[in-house]
Amino acid sequence: MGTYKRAYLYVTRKKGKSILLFFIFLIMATFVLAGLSIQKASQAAQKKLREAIGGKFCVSVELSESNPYFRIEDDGEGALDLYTELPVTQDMIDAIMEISGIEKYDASAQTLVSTSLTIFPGNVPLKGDLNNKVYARTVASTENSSFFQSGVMELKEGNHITGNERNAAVISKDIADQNNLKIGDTISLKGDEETEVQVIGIYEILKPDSLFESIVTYEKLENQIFIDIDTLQNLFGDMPVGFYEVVFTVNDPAQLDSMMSAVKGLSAIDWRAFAVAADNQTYLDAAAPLQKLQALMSSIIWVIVLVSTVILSLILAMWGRSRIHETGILLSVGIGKTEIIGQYLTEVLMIAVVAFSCAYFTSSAVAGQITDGFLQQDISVNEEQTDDDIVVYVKEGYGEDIAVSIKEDSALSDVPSGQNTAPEVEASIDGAEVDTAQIGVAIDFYNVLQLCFIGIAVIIVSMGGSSLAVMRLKPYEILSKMS
Amino acid sequence: MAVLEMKEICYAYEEGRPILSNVNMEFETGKMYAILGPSGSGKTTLLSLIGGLDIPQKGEILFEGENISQCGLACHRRNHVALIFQSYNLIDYMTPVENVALTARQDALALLLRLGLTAEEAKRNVMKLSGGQQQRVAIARALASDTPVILADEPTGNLDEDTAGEIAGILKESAHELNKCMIVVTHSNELAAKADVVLYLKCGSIHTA
Repeated sequence: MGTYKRAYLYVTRKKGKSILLFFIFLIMATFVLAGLSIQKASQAAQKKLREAIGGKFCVSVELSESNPYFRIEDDGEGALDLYTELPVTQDMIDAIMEISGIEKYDASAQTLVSTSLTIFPGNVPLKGDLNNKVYARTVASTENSSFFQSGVMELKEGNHITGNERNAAVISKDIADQNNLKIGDTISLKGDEETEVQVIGIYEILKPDSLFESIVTYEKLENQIFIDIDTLQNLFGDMPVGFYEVVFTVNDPAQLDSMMSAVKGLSAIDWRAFAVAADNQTYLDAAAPLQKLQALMSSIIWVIVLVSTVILSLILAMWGRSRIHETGILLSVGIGKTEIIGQYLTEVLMIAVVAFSCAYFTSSAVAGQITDGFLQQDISVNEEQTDDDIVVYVKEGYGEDIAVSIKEDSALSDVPSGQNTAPEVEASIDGAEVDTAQIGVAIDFYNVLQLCFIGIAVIIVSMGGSSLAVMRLKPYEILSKMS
Repeated sequence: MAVLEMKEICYAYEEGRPILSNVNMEFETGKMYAILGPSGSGKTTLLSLIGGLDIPQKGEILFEGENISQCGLACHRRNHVALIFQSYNLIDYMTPVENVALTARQDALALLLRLGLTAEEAKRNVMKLSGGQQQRVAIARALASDTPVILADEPTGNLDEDTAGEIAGILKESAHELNKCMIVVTHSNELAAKADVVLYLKCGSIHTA
């Protein structure tokens, strides 16, 4: 009788032991397979999230002595005026935008200007004339500005500055109401020179400054006046003007480094005057729960593998001792030790194959539960729950606001068969939803292959440990133990 | 010609207290040998050495003129000898047919039927058989292996008188009809009486009757 036949007879006749071993393998395989699939799904979701959020890099004026165009002037009243003779120009922006993979940009420069308007005072007193000044924020586009992208402000009336306007301004509704201004009215702003601008848009503040925040007059949201680049030139006469900071958004943050290198390689730009820095904090914040999930899964897999090995070793060692009689009989009829170990290994593998196959189905359900449970627990601190989904603000900042939302099962009715009803993670940036990154936890052939490798390793280690003690004995010693 | 030879066999569990001392013996096929001796005289040890379950500390065991260690003990157990134990030593999750088929080079069921089991009993769980039936299965397994030498350690020790008589008859018949070298270790004078050759093991030495 061959090894396989003996193994088959043992597995089918010793039903209790086989079932117990089956459940041990099933539990182990279910969690390992679930862990592997969640890990993989988490990696895929991070990739999608990365693509959804996009990466950013910032080209800003180098405000240090290393910039040969940098100037510091004393205004005679104790304040220092810092500026550059070479800001970022529209030509430079256009040159950078020609590099493929850059999706959009947000250019800005803020300048303190005087105005005859009645403004809203801050709660931090400043010296002299600064209490009466406001920020004139030069933008290429108000719509792309971080204030509007993040949902801090929303255009209520009129139009956005789009880059094609001259002498245009977008002001707050509070300032407009306070000064009886409406679309088409003109206001006066004074920098080095005085200029008149026409109000083309009025914005409303959706997320006001905190009452407990220390804030100076010119930084109050109500006092922000958005202007076009020509107006900025008018405010400073012949002095060269431009943007102090331009944030470029790229499609795939993975390409961020290569794009930054390409930008730095543009010879038309004097890079002594500018600094280029990556900004992927947005992605890191949004991906944090997924990275935690991935790390947790790695730990779970290791713990399960170790615990399973220990439990399996103990059970097999116990069974090995109880089978010493059988081992002795097999030895006495001339069956070699290798064949006997082969039989015991085959028995365990037979059960493992069935258990691993069943785990293919059970792990899908478990993976969904784990993913759901973990993500909900991880983000429950700041959750805003609605009927259909859970929206969690991972980061609430002045400039940007990122949300990760997990949709309920009902939103996943279209998930292909073989995938579970795992939650859907949506990435939103700057208040507007950018794209969807779904954690589709699906068990695939590669996961099963990984499970098989892990399972076989666990079985061999466990079998090796448990068989050694018995197999080191001489047949006569085994037969003596039998009696 | 001797199928099995023992030459100057020595064995001791404790140093200085040999249980077998320079044992020399030859066994032939077609005969039934009975080895008698008091408890602790080394009967089972002798059988385990012949059976390739252990190695003598001195001397050699030859099968058809060749040292059994040359072929390997597992090979010797598989091809040259078959063992029958007092406690039957059957595998509990197998049927009698399957137990016999473990080593079978012959039709297992036919052997069991010849030894007195019914077809239904031959396919029942082996643990549900009586002691006598289990010993018949053990004998069938030994015969099925088709080895020239069969070693039996107290084969009737757990059986009642009538059954023991039947088993002894089967062993003798097998030795004669199947041309086996049947070596039986026993305390039973009734079983020894059926043997062709009776040997006594005493003080580490073997003597013929």
